[in-house]
Amino acid sequence: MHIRKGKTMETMEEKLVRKRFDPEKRFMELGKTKIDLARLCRDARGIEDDLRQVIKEDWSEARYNDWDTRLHPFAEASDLVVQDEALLNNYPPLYTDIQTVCSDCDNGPCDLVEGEGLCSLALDPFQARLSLRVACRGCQSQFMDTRGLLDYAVREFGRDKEVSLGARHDISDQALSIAILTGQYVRNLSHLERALAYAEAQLNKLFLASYQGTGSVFDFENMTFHCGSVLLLVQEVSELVKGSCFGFQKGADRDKLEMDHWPPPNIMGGLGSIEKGKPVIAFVGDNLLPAWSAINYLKENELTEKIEICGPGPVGLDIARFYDRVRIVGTMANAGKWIRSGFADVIVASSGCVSLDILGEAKRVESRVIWVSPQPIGGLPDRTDNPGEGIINDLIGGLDAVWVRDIDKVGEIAVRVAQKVKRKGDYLLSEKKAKEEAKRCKEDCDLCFNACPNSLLIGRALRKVREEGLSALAPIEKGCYFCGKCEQQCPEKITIRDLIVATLNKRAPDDKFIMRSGRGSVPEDEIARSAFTLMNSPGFCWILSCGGGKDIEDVGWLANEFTGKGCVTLIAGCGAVEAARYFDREAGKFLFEKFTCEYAVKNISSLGGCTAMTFLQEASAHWARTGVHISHYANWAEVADITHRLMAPPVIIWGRCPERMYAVAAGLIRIGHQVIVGPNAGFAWKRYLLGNHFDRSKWCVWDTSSGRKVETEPGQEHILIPVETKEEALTIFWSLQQKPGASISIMRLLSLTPYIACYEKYFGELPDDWQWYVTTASDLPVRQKVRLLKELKEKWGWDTEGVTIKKARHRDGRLLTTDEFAHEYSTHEARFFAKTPKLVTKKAKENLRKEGYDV
Amino acid sequence: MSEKDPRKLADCLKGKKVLLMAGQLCEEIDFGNKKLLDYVVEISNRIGAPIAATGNTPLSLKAKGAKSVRKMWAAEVVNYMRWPWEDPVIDRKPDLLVLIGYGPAVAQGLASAVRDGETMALGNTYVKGATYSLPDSPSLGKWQQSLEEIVQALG
Repeated sequence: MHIRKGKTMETMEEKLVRKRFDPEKRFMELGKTKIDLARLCRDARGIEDDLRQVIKEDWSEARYNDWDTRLHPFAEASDLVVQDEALLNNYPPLYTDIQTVCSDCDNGPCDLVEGEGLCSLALDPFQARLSLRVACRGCQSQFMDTRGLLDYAVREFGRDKEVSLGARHDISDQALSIAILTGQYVRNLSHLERALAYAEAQLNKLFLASYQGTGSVFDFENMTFHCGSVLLLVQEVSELVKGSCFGFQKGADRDKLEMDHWPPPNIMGGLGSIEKGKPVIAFVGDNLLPAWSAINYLKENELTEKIEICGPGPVGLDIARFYDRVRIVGTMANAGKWIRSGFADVIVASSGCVSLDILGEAKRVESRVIWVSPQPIGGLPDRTDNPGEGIINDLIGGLDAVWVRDIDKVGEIAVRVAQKVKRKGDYLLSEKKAKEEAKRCKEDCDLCFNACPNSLLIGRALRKVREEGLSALAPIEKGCYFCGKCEQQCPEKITIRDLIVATLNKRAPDDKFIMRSGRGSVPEDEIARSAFTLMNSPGFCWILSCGGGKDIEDVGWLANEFTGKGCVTLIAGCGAVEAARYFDREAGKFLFEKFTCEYAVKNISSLGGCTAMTFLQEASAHWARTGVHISHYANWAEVADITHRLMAPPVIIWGRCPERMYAVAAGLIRIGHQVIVGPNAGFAWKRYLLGNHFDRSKWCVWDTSSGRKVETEPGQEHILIPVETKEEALTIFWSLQQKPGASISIMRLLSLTPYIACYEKYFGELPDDWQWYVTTASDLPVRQKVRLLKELKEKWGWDTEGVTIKKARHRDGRLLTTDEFAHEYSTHEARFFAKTPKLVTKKAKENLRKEGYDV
Repeated sequence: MSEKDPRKLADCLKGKKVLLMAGQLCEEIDFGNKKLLDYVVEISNRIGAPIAATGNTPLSLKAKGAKSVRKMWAAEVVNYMRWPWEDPVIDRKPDLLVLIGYGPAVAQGLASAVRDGETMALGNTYVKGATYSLPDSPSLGKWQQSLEEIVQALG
């Protein structure tokens, strides 16, 4: 502070506060407490009214007085470093398949093995910069699709059109993925426009940094996390538009007491579900609007019974939320395979999460393509402004594809073309021709195996086809996502994918399953309700997949295992389609028939298509509101800290892993999830976030009321780990479920029991870290208690007697009474605790400052 | 380095602190008369190297008589190479990690991430990120032949 001529001069900060905060709106009352917005955030211009409403309706006075909350409306990546620091300190990135030469600018190339590049970028930060670039690329198609959707909605319905995730949402749980980054209380389309503009600006900055940034590993990884958070925001914008403007059903509009059986399992899937003889229109990609337009046309013209609407990929899942006659063929990862099977007369395509030669694949089977995305494809002329009749006639007359960007036209064109187009319908190899083709496979050649990303033994199976026919290829077909690398390598130029599709066609009539459509978000009242059932559950399980795993049945197996063991299972995106294929022969039911669909123990819910992934973040982060009364508006740090330590379950990402999923994973990790990615494609991500349970210095928390530092078990050992098999995924899931926050013995028991059981079942030994998760004898699996207590005594030096623990061995070697142990290890004594000393109460911070902490 | 002579690769295995990593393909690759798992066990037993059994390989490796096997996750092994070694699978940080049973992309990712130690890829393709690697094998037969030669050269 400067003093001059007896007057007190304003500090720089005071000047800024005066500039940035309207005196009329700066102060407010919360109970008996006077709130100063300038103390809460750096700049609240344009968001003051929302923040005032949130503080009034969603804040706890006691919490405000006890804690040092800091808000970051419209946050930049660097505003949210507190939680990111805590994560990256524990889980320093491991970069694989290192790229050593940087050619990102015209000063390059720079070989970074030799030292820093000309811009001072070093080898590891360069890997981190590449990681950021992958995340940015992964966001692009989703951003573009959401922008198109929102612009269309604004044109159709106006900016004042109200939006909501459903009637059971209120200010405490409305649009968390948007609110946590922006502070906005979203109520209409104009709010979504502002949120999306913010996200687009963030992505621009992140993209620039991914080419020109010269920071540290932390700087880039902080931005990669931010990229993921912003993507989840954009997905929520999409969901709000779809749900509020395009008639998507929403669980939050239903009575919560009916959610155990709503939505009903009435959506048919698989190639075999398509009624023969009817014209078929398939919608492929992210863009929902053409399907909405076409279905409206069908309804207006009473054609719904006469035309089959299908969707491989996210659009199919979206359609199911407003049109239950849709046939969901399969996942986006396998879309090329479905298209080459020739099931569709017309394909309405837009950009999506995976690269696909859609024109080439469709042309082979004479499916007519209508490309609707704003960017060109395959040299097609833009016929958006051509008369519709001419386009229809051209397509019926044999033109294979058109590019039409006018959504209002596309629906009618697609339906009318499908009604009249003639295709010869014989595109697949016969058994005889397949055997002939397979005969060209050389006995001593397996180059196709070398090339296959799923390491499928293609050549061996092909050689069996000569004798056994296409059935020999059945296991290969189920693990093939049609990348075509095998054909590139084949010296005989065998049309392997034609053989694969012919094999698919053989099982097509039986390729049928039943699923539930997406329910949308999970409101807070259901989340709170589920808490009462958790004492009988090993926890939550989130599953994501684009398809394309080594076996099409893996996701269903995993979903069945977790749900059957009592998890609250949520699934989103194409993974729901894979899961739906699981058929329990004993029960005679498909997965979604076998289990009810409440947000509760031993239930599985499909949230919806790709954009519904945002609700996974919400379902976890709401616990900060439900359990600890933290409002999420612009309050990333406190919410993420609580979510990470207490509730966020491991997420399994299975199958082919496009770049979008990389960004989604980054967002989920940042809010507190642990991500398990596999099988083969999981290793292609080139950046993992692994902890080291041997390093005790990393495993500690701070008691938020006193500031005392406490060593904990190395729970949640990794936050991003690749696995090779579904059994590995299952087992490490239970390992990652071990949370320092599980201070209740029954929760430890419920997660330790399957961890030990799976480890012994699949790997024949005890895990090497189980003893670190034991705090009392009641944590131990009931049936294994005697054996494990003996192991604790004999191998780990604990003092046990009968079925009780008299003294526990701390990891530092001391033998402690159970009271001492509870005080010095894990979290039994803390009411709440934080992963970083920066997130404790004001009182605790005072204590920490006395000890020299910079908090 | 693409070491085309498997016997020279065998020489590289001698006299070093070796940890074998056996991936899921060890379970899946059957050469007809032998499985990939058999080669892991033979190499392990001949040079006295423990096996970090990843994927679902631990039970099969134990059943085939491997003497020192411990379940690990592939990425964890590479991760631990960054820090002072504490995992009981081997008493100190290995000089050389041998990767068997991983697809080419997986092996490349794992091998290139190891900076404090050498790596050897005994897969069906050349792995450029590994310190030592078998060359591309055009067939399973050629790959098996290379593995046989390594085992024979180990004595």
